[in-house]
Amino acid sequence: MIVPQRSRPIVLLVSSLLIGLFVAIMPLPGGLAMFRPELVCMLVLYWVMSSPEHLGLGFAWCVGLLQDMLELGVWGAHALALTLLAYICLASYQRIRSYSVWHQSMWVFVLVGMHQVVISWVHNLAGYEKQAQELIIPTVISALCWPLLIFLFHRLRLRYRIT
Amino acid sequence: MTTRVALFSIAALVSVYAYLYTDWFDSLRNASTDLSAPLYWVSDFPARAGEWADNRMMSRSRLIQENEALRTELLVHKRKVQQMASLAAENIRLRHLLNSAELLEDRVIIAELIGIAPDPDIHIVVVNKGASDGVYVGQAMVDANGLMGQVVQVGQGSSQVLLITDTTHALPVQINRNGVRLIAEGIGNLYQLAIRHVSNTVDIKEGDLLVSSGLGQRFPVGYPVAEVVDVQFDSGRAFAYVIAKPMADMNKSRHVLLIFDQPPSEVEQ
Repeated sequence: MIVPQRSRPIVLLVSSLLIGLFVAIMPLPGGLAMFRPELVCMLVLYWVMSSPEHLGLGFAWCVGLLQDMLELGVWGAHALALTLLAYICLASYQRIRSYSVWHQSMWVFVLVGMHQVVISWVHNLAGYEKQAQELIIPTVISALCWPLLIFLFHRLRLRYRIT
Repeated sequence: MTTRVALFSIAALVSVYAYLYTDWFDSLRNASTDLSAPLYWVSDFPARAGEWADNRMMSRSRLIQENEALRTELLVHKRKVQQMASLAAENIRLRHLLNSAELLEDRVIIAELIGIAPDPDIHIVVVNKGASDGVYVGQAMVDANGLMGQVVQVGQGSSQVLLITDTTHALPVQINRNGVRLIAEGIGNLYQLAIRHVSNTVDIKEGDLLVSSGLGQRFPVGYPVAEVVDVQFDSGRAFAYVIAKPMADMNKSRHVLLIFDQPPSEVEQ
């Protein structure tokens, strides 16, 4: 049996973020745009919690700024939100990692909710007003998608022997 | 770690401030347009594939039918243009009599939409023409029916256009019927513009066509902008409540026109 070479997680990291950014800008028909999960935010949570010794605030800040540039929004909105989220993750990753997946997804609900609030605050400064459901629906969808994301990453890591 | 999180947060806040209230990022913003264009180009792929398939799988009889319909339409438009030529000449003669400047005919290029901002509140679109095609910041964009927006960022091969329905956008218009000047403001709804500060005595009614007045020195004069759909005079309020519907198909048009109403060199100055 051929055992594949151990690959480095950097490939998985970069490709997952690219997919995340792609999902973030993918055009959706009018009414569906509200149901877009905050995949980039979830990926940053995942990666900061899975390797807190390598990835931290700077990583979150850069990803946030990149997302701002791509989404044609206000530069710094996602950077600010993701930095704060990464800080919370770094402070409590030992606890969150030991929870069951559904328990984690409640944490994700709270964290993505904070992310949405920060973004809507910055967008308010620019003159854009967000409805309450525009904040809450993506948060719920993201929390529901979290177990799926964890499962997918688990399978990918097993399949490609990424530690 | 607390110091670092404070530093990064302050950096993000400074960038928000700089983006909103200063012009420090202007050149960077134009460069970022080129950065995001490939991703938008890829995300647009399903739509383009659909269009391609539509073109390939059309039957011969339907093609002939469509061709005939287009020929008829062209004939109708040509007849209108015939009249237009003499009218334009007459207009120029009358303007000479009044000693006012001639209106020059606008030059246009055709562009195609390749992306829209994912946030439903931000009404910005990406088009596939950029600085290499002569596009400049402030250029007006129209579709077949009316004014759509203005270019806000220009990359090498693509640019970003702010639609007139965005909450941060407002433009000077006038009622085509009687020339009353007004301001049409975006309210974040693709099908509505709010007309602000209309006093209760102004002659405005449902069905009035609003055209660009050119007073902001941004948009060319005379392009249709919106049609008034709702007017409520309320003497209890300082101003009337007026809502207009944009003439352009804000979320349908894929092929758009960018208008050169002044040479780019003048805009630079």
